[in-house]
Amino acid sequence: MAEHQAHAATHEHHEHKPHGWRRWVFATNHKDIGTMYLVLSGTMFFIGGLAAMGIRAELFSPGLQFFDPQFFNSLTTMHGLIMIFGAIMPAFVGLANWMIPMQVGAPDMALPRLNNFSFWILPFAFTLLMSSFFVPGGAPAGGWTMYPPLILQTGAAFPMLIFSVHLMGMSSILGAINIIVTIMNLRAPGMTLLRMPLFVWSWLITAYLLIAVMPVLAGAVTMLLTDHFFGTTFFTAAGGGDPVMFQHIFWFFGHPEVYIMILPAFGIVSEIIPTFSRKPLFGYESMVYAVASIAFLSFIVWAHHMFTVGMPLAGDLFFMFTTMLIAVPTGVKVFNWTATLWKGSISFETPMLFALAFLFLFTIGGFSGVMCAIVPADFQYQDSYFVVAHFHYVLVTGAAFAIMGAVYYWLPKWTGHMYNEKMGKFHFWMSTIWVNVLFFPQHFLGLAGMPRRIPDYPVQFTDLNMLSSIGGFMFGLSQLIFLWNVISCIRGGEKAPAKPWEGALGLEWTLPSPPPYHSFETPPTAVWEHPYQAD
Amino acid sequence: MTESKDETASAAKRRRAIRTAALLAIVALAFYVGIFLLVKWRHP
Repeated sequence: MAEHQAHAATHEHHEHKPHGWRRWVFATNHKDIGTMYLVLSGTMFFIGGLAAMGIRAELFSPGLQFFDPQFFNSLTTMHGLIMIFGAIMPAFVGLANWMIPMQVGAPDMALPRLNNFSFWILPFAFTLLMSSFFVPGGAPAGGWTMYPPLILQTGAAFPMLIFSVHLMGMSSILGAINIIVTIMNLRAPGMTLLRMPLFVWSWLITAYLLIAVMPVLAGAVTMLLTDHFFGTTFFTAAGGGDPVMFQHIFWFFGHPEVYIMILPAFGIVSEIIPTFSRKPLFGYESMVYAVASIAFLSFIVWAHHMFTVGMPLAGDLFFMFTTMLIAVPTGVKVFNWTATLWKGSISFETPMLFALAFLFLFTIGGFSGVMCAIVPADFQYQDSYFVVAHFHYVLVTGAAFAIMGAVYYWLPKWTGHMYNEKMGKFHFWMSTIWVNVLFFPQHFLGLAGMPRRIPDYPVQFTDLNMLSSIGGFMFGLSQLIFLWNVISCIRGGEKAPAKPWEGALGLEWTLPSPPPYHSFETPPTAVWEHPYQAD
Repeated sequence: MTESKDETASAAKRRRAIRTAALLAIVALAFYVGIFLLVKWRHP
């Protein structure tokens, strides 16, 4: 460790770090690009959050209060697109950019210019998407799933939607290629695949998923475009096409997409829990195989999103059973995290609190997922608020909580300062309490029959909607604490040592905090006997 | 001598990285084209 610090100090003068705007526009450094991804993600998180506040304000009481139904539908559609493609995915790519080179002992990503291109596509994509609010016909309102024929009724925003989805897809594919090439080619000598940190493993598998499914989404939306403008009938029944075919293709992309948003979260939790339990991760290899199994199964479960379209019974059964199979590797992971905690010397710093909340609350989302997988039950849940509750438990208390945990975990490494622990814990408790007030009542609303994507509802749903909205506003406000804490930490604070967490393992902690501009100019020369043994 | 060996190794590494990236890009392109062929096959 000392060797690396000395090495970093001598090389501080040879960084050739560009300054001013050029540093960011022409960035090829993995840390700068990672920072830009995270800033973009944070910005989109707050913009998508504003849309969510609008939705919850409208649903606070029955009747139409603020928006006409068309605009309400635009809000739900844009909230979904922005949060998935703008907040969660770029956050994970930002974390990958920051951490993968440092965790595998590489100086940078393998293809730095491609990395710059992958990032800079995104601000244009989201500017294009969000400017659709101001064109005739308003922003897309057919849902983030873009089902035809409804989505084909979008006004001038339609080509903007399609082009922005293409851009996001291109960015993801190029980013994924870069991640795979980095992991496969730039690992430190001695770091075999089964000695890689779990975050790296989960990202390697996620990157393969991205390469397999983003082109499928791109193909599907290209067909929508030609159906709309060039007279093709891929999905138009009148011309011999099949709108249900779009749903099959969309969900062939969409279900692996769900895992694209959760596998890196699994990787993060697998880093945080051993650190604060001061024990090695229980069942490392089974964790790797579980991630790989989940990724494989994600390709053969897509039609569980469309049980009610009228598939043959054999189809329903096949997708029901394959979906339930996913509970097996997921159960392995939850078991292993729990076994890691068992008899550990546990401490509850903010990243650990988020990881533990993930463990409990993601599992709630997993259980409601199993409920949705049961065909006859799903006929009741389909398109109801139960589904909204289910996927928000998975994506907010799952993916978003893991991202917040990761930010607190690695922030001292990135900035060289400790964040305010008290404020971090306050943010955690506010988030955890209010997120449950926000989403838990939605299960009951769904079971009672409230459909999703509606701006108005019968009066008997009022109380639970009010409760949910109050939870939503408070959860939204709580995130300002997070923003404040992160900004304060970037601006200064108590100096962070190279390894601020006593139980942390892995190469990133052998670098000083903040790390030098180029992480490992010479590869570390540790001999690994087990994963994470780098010292 | 050592430096030139290093350079050769680094060039080989770079070539391998570009080859891997190109291969992955081809796979992505194949999935993109494949989905059109699939839809065409289902509804000629």
